[in-house]
Amino acid sequence: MKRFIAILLAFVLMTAMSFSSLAAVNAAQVSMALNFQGTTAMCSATILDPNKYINATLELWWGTTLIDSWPGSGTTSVSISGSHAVVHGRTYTLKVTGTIGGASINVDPIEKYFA
Amino acid sequence: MSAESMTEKVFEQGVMIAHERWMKAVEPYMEQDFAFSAGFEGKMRRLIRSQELRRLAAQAVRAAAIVLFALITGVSVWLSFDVEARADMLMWVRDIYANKIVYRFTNDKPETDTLPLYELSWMPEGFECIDSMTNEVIYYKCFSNEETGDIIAFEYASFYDGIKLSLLDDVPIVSEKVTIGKFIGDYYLASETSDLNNLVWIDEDRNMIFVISSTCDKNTILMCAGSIETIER
Repeated sequence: MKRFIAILLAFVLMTAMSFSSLAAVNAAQVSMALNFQGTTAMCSATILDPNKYINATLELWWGTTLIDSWPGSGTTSVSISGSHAVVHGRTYTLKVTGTIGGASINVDPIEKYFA
Repeated sequence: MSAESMTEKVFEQGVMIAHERWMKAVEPYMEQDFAFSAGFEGKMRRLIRSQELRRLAAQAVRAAAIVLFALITGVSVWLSFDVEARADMLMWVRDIYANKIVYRFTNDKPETDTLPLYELSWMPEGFECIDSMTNEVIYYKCFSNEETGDIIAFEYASFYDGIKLSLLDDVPIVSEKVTIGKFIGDYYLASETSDLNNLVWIDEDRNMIFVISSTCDKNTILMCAGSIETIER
């Protein structure tokens, strides 16, 4: 029984990794930064994809609450920045959403704890 | 009932009968002090030792199996990300997925740290800045040549927890190692779905990550990288 559970667990793990690797994404370069200065969160992102129309929004979340967002759009290159007051002891998440050439932007968010 | 289980049952019954008879036979001697011979005690010690060794061997085999399982699982996870992933100090890690490369950082940013100023002192003629952004941690400038349609983007950042660089593609990203001065960088070749070549290198002494992304060829990108100069503030 134990052997069966171990094999099943390994199989589930391998399958999950394969699917995460195969997730469809756009061809682009995206950089993001979440930095705390005093009690302000400094958020920025740059998105680059030659000759593609980029329509993006930079979002700052606290848990499931969207606390601020900053839009940006353009062809080939878009840089977005914004700031928002933050509270000590909370974890904030920075996300980039939107589309590049009509396809969804699929990048991992940044999570950071404000000590 | 099978012949085998019947044999076991008979054997067990036989052992019980033999045990009872033996106990009855030795009962009169129970109260007496009895000194076993040195040879017998030696045999008993060897028997106990061999039983103990068997138990330890079984434990060792079990532990080895657990370690082996953990090792196989760990190596699988490791290889699925990046065989060259830098984890020695865990200041930065490069995760390589099938069609996504992510640079992420784990170290804390010192309050007093300010972003140094670097510029490309060379790039091909005809390029003009179309987008730029500079803040405490990131510097970004994108140049475009209207005639050729080429672009060159130069970006660098102080790498700290809270910075993430993602290179995305619809197909697996192919890379090769290149030398930029004293640094070894990764050159990610454009694929059939993207015109964008990316050159990424890291200066661990200064906690800086540099990226040059361009539709130009590799030589042009390397020449741009080689021309980076520090600007005094």
